[in-house]
Amino acid sequence: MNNSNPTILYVDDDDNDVVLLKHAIRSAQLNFGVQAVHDPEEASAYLNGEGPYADRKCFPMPSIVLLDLKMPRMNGLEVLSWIRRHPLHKRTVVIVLTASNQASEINRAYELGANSYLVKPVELSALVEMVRGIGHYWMTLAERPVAAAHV
Amino acid sequence: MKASARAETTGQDPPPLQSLPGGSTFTEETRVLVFTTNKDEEEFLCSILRERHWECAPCADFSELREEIKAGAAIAVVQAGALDHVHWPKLQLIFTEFPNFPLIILAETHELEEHTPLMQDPPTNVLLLERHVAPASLFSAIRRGARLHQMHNILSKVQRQETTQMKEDLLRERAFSDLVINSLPGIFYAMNKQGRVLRWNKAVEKVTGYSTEEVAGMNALQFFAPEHRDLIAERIRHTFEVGESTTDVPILTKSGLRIPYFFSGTRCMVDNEPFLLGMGVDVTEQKRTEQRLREARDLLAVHSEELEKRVAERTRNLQASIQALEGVLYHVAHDLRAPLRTMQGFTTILMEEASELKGEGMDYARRIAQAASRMDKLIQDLLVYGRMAHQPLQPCMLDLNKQLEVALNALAKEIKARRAVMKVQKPLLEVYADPSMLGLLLMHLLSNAINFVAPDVRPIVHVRTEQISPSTVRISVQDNGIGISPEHHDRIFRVFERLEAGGVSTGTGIGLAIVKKGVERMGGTAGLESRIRHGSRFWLDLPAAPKNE
Repeated sequence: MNNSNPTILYVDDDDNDVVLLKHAIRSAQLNFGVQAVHDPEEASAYLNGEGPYADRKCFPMPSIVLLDLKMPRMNGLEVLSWIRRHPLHKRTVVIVLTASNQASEINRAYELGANSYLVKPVELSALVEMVRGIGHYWMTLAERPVAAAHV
Repeated sequence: MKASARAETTGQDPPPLQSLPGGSTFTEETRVLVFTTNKDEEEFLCSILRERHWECAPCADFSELREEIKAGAAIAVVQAGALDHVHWPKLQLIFTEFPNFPLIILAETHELEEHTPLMQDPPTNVLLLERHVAPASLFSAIRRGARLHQMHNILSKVQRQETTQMKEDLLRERAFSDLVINSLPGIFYAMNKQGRVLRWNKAVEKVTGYSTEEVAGMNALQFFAPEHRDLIAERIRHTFEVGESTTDVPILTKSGLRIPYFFSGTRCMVDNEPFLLGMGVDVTEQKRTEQRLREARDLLAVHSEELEKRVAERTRNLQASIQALEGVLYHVAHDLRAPLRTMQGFTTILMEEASELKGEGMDYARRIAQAASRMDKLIQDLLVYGRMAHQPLQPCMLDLNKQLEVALNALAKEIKARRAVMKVQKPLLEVYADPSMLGLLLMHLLSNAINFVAPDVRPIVHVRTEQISPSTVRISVQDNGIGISPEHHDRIFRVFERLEAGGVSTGTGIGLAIVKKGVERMGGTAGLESRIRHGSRFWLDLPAAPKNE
């Protein structure tokens, strides 16, 4: 993994969805490196480079965090809130990717500072389209926040 | 002799029987009492009378004369010369006793000129005649006097009869009015200005318990409790002043019982004196009913308050249940969709990448993927349908041209895939509706129109609007699809009612239920016209403008 390969941290407890996302990224021919964690605790450990995630070469800082909302123990929204309050991670691009399209959850996510809110499609082809869209927008069109070390 | 000269005068026969009103007859009285001290004179008078068939009854003295008058006689002829100072007072007594009995006094000319009270101012029943009057004149005077007397008798008899009749009538009248006032449904009374009760019906005694004698001596105020007397006195005054009044006050009986009564009084004049005629009716039952009504009303108020509380509580509970259900629905949908994604996703990967899948295997994998997609759509539609009932709406005047454009864009992929021809009759009219709700309904109708078409037929869809009433605009979506036979037209708008024809359908069976519910929430209706194999025309009738209220 090098700097030219941006990393996506996918926070989701469902392994099936992780496999499908990885497949979709491959199908969309994007050069993202996908790192997956299964719960909020692992997510914070990864972002802080703690425990098994201490090696930044193997576990680089992600350019984008894809966040499922419905997970055991800590709710995805709490992870989002934690990221936004964290001095080092507060500017990280966080895209909610979840099964819920409930208005209350959508609004809450944006209020807490989500950069986007996407609903997991059932059809794989739709997921491929979605991932392609993410890559196009965030890697080509949008200016991403500049890492602290570079400021 | 004078007597013979008198006898020449032709007498008259007694007059015939006279008939009187009422049918009774009176025979003319022809007995003449004669009082004289001169026998010749007596004989002369008698002869005149007998000649004319009248009866002559000489009287020896005044007591005999008195008896004869009482026994019945036409008239008495008295010779003045026979009257001495003893007779005068007796004659006076006769006048007094029989003021109507006629008397002829024959007097000498000089006697007539005497300044006695009798001569100067005789009583009305006394006729003074010159003694030497011609016999014919004497007789006619006698007869006139007798007739007058008789007429007088007849008149007084008739008068007596009439008086009796009047008394009877009066009694009958009184009995009748007693009957009337006693049969009145309440108490009746008549009082004077002082409050003295002058007349009353039996009911007064029956209700109050006072005897007739007691009531007769009572004042109106005594029939009421002390605290009501001022009011009653004021009402009585008012009635005498204004003419009538009413009051609602309990009567006080002799035993101290109070009975609710309603009185109404009227002033009336009897012999120029004002009286108050009044009636009172027992309103115990009415008061009791009013009381019961009040109680019922109070009870009703209590009940309705309780009901309101209960409704509010149930509404709260219902809202809580709805929220809980929505939560469950949401979680179920979420949890159901996760395995669907897995099924669909991995089947797709299998088809794309596992090259050993061929023929049948490939077909099976495709079926799994399709089933998963369909189930996902079903879940999503159910979620939409579930939320529909209480989703907040913000209706406004909508440009349907734009709305339709948005819907067509959203369906672009389907339209292209089916090579459908969409024909819109422009310009479309405006409607008053919620934009996102209407967008959803149009999507469902258009999607149905495109998809429910036989596989070998190119879908042609017509969209148009028309003003069907001043307040309603109809949006129609006409297709050339498989059509729906009329017996299914009702159930097609119900949830899960799907009418498939040989695998043509791709619907979930919820779409039209969503359309119906959605249009109804916006104050409209949905309907269709369709025949099998002749396509369908679905319409939405929506308000043309907001209701002004």
